[in-house]
Amino acid sequence: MRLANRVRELRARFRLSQHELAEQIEVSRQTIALIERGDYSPSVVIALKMAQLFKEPVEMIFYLEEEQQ
Amino acid sequence: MNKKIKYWLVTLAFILVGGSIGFLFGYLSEGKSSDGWFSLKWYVVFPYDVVFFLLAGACLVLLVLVLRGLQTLNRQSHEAVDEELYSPAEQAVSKLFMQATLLQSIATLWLFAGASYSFEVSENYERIVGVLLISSVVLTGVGWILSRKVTKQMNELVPRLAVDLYDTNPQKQYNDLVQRLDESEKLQMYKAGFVTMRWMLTLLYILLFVIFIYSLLVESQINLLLVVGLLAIANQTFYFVVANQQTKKRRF
Repeated sequence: MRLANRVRELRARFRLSQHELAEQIEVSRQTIALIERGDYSPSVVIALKMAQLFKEPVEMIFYLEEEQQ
Repeated sequence: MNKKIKYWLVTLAFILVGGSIGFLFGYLSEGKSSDGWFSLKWYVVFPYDVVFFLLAGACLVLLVLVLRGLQTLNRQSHEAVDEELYSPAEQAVSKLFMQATLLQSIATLWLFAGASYSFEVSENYERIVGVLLISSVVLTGVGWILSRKVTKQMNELVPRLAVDLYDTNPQKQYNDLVQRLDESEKLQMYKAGFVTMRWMLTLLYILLFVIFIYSLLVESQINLLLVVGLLAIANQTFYFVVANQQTKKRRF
């Protein structure tokens, strides 16, 4: 199982750049890029901040999926 | 101009000019002839000539690369596309920092290599040591200036993680920097530190093995074995002590 997310999709819906999203949730742009690529699993604090910003429950943004072989 | 900068610039300018003169008169000369003048040599006389040539070549290449990189840095885009972690300018400045640091390391290697040869060639001892010291100091100075310039560029590119170039307390500066990192950057830093430690240890153990074999086959190198062995132990101990301290500090 791996952590997948809809951050890129939601960011596009809200017309935010990575830089703008990073500024709003007070992290670096690299962190956003890493999360979108699935290379970094964010802390609960970041996940909750994103949920608040995108007005979606956390589990609708981050979810577990089967790893592809 | 800031007094501190002026002081360093003047000092380095003196080292640069003095070093260049010393390098030209010492490195290219065969030694003092009977009439008291230096005679130029353009051929290999001692084994260290080859070592010098290789090290000087590496330094020259790195010097050109860093200078060219600094010139073209302003033309690089400061905006990263979404798929990229770093902007082209950030990638370029990070490469430049590595090259400038490598230049300093090779210049230091030059000093050690030359010093070891100077003991073998006893009749030229004074001249060689003088020339080696001056040329390596010149190159290290140039590397130092370049890495400062690159650091300044890094500070401008990522002001959030800017470091003070004249801070005399590196530990405090490191702690402040860690405070400014966000969670993914802290993880990256930890990973980088761990990978560096593993590489350092692997290289030290390979070196230890090579020296050991050399000692068995050619010549006993007990002192070198001891130094490299101690370095390996110190490296490992330091890492574990630091890691242990950090674990104790961590709040769950």
